[in-house]
Amino acid sequence: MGAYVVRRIGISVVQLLGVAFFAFMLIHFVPGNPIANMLGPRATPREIDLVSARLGLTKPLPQQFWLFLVHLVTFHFGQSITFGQSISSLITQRVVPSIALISYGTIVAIVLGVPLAVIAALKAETATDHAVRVFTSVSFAMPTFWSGLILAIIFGLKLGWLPVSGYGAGFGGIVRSLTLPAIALGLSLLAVIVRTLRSSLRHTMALEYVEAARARGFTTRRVLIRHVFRNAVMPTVTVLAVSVGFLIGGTVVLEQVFQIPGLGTLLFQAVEQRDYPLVETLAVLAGSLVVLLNLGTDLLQATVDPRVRPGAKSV
Amino acid sequence: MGAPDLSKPGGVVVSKVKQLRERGGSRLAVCALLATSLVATLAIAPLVVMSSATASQLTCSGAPLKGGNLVYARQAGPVTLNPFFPTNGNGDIFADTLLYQGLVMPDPTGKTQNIVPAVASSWSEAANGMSYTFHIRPGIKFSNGTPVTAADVVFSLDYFANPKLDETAVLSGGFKSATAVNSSTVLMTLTAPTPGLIYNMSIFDAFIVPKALVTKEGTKFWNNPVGTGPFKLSKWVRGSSITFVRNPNYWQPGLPYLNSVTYQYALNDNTRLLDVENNQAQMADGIAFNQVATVKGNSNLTLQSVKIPYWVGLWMNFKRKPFQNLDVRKALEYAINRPLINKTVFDGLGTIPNSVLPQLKFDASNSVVKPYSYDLSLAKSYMAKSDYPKGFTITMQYPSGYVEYTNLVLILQAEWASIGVHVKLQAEDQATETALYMKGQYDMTFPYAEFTSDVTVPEEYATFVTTYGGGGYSFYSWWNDPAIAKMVTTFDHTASEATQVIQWPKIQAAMQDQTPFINVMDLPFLNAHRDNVCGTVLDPLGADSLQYTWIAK
Repeated sequence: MGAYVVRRIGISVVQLLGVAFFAFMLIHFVPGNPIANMLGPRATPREIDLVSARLGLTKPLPQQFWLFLVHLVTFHFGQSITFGQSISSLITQRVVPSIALISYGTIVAIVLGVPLAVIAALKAETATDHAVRVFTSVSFAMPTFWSGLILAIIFGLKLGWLPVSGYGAGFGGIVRSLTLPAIALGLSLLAVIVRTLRSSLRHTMALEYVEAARARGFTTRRVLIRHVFRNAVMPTVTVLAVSVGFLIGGTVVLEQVFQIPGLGTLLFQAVEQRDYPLVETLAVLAGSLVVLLNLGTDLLQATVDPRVRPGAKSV
Repeated sequence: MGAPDLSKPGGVVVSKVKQLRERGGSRLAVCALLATSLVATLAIAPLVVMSSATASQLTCSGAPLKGGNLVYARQAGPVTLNPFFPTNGNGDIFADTLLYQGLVMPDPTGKTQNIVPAVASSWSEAANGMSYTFHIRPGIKFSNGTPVTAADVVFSLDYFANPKLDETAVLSGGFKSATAVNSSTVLMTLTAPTPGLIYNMSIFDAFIVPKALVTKEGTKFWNNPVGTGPFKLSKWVRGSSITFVRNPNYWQPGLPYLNSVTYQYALNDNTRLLDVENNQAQMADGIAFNQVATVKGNSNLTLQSVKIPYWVGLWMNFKRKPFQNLDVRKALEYAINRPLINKTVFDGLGTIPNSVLPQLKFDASNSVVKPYSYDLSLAKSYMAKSDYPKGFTITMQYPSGYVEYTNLVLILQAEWASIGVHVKLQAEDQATETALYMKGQYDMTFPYAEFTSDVTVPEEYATFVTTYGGGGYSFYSWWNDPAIAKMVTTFDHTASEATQVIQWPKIQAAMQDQTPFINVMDLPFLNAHRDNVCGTVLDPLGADSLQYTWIAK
């Protein structure tokens, strides 16, 4: 197990380096100059060069990449070109709304998705199952910016139940303002949860020990909760961990639509302005989160299920 | 069991849930039904959502009322409150306009393109145009209560002219020095008569700030600045909103009317409109042309269309041979169906231009300088006698994410195909488009999606587009016409405005004839506000000090 953990962590470090490398190279190879954007149409090439040199953007790329890695390792992410603030303080200001939105969206997806998956599994290949499939396909196919706007029109503008945009103050205000974007985000994740869990439930329900439990006269509810669900839920947890990257992508769009001052909005502004250090840092942080969650999930699985460890023999 | 109440929101769902429960359905089934209903509602909503207008109509008649808090949904918010170094364009500038003022300012009523007194109550210009004397308004104070002195003005003007401190120091061309004559008088000398300089001093780049505080606090000053504007900073949630409250020391008695103004940033056009429709905001800027019908159709909203120097500038790269040919350029101009474009793309709110630059002070009327008409046969005849009678193929870069540009380029593509000019379309995000433009890697491009002038007078743009040297390459068009450039230089340094009024139409006509750029359309700034928001005026550059704005009750 120890060797597996070391190897898995080693792979994660390589992955993180890869994320850092690609984040750095991609933004540098995209056309666009942060200084030209900042200075606007009046700027002369000389002024652009002067400011670029002052901000260290004229150094060779390998040197810039090395400095970027040093910044990452020391957690001093440097200064944002556009905002003129330290990147650490910008991230601190914006991280809470994004985490709140992702968490709330995940809760919505679970609250809606688990019952639907159970119903679909219990009524497999019936009209109900097909209806759930259609429903999750539609919710998956709807772009979040579109479903978000429609939710805002219905529940904000027409019914007046919830704000159409913004980020409220206090716990109640935050919950109210994040409800509509969280539903939009949750709906986009629904298909993943429902399809994975349904399939897993079906597989588990066909196993002999479940038959045995039924034969002993336990109620369907007890069989489901005590015998089936616990064993069937692990693949869904894994998929959810993998979906964090998808959720982060979703928040970039939703934060724009609902004007939530989170990391998604910050990333959008940073890309638009070609704010290299800020884009690189945000991309690496998002990538790191995905890598670390995957690492955690793998290690957790290896802990609870020895079959996934290397060298383990399948029975 | 009765029929569902279809008149109430969710009536069908509630009824179904009741039915399910009566039939002994499980909680899971109820959850599933609710979830399914939610998605179904979303899917069909666009078909059933219609505008409603129920709020009472309040009028703006009568004397303005003092008080009230205004929320303004803006497409960009400030990144910095340092007016000398804006990094987020109008997001910074529109916030600065509430906090600070210069010695002079653009007419805040927007009725003229003139400058009017602000921190200076009056000024005089030397007969030779080589100096200005400014008299500081008696009793004027910064928002923290300290008086404005000549030392503050000199300090601010030195900032204005220092390229290390002022990002737009290029606009200080002609400035030589500023000295305090006494505590309330400042003498500004020039290197040459430059009448455009005082217009350049009316905007953000020459706002007056307190010398002592800026010197003491350094860059921290810009986090909590003070100025002489109608409002002062109250709260700034970076990336989300900024709130200003009335400046109790404002020099204009009785103004502003509002207690507070909050700018909420919403990049998304639809979000801003929803905010104002839902009364979460009372004003919204940057209304897109495809939203005009929605605003007009809502009886609670008013569309504000303001004429400012805002244009759809289309650049031709003079390094590419076809554009060096005047016949080709004229053929392109005559083949643009501007009335159709105005109607279909800009909801009829645009103005067909008679200048290759945006609408500026001193512009001659259409009777003096004629706009290009839509004349396909004339366009074809110009192509026939050009060096490219069989036409050519070019690539046109245009800004992505703007519906109006997407529609516009399709019309241009179709129209120019009829004269043999085949256009390949290439959508780019703004940063990429600007980068390619500055490197000269384009055939035709719209360098800036929202292209406006900093000032009302022509000097700034005329100089940029005719200055080939210095690395600017005539605003990266690589157009070089020494004769017109000479006319512009003479115009820039003519002390008498009466003479400039005569000079400019000749330059305007010469450029219009040479058509080095294509001004597809002059556009207005579009805002929307609730009907009870009154006194909404923008200055001739589209900035809004909100000092005349009030809320009817």
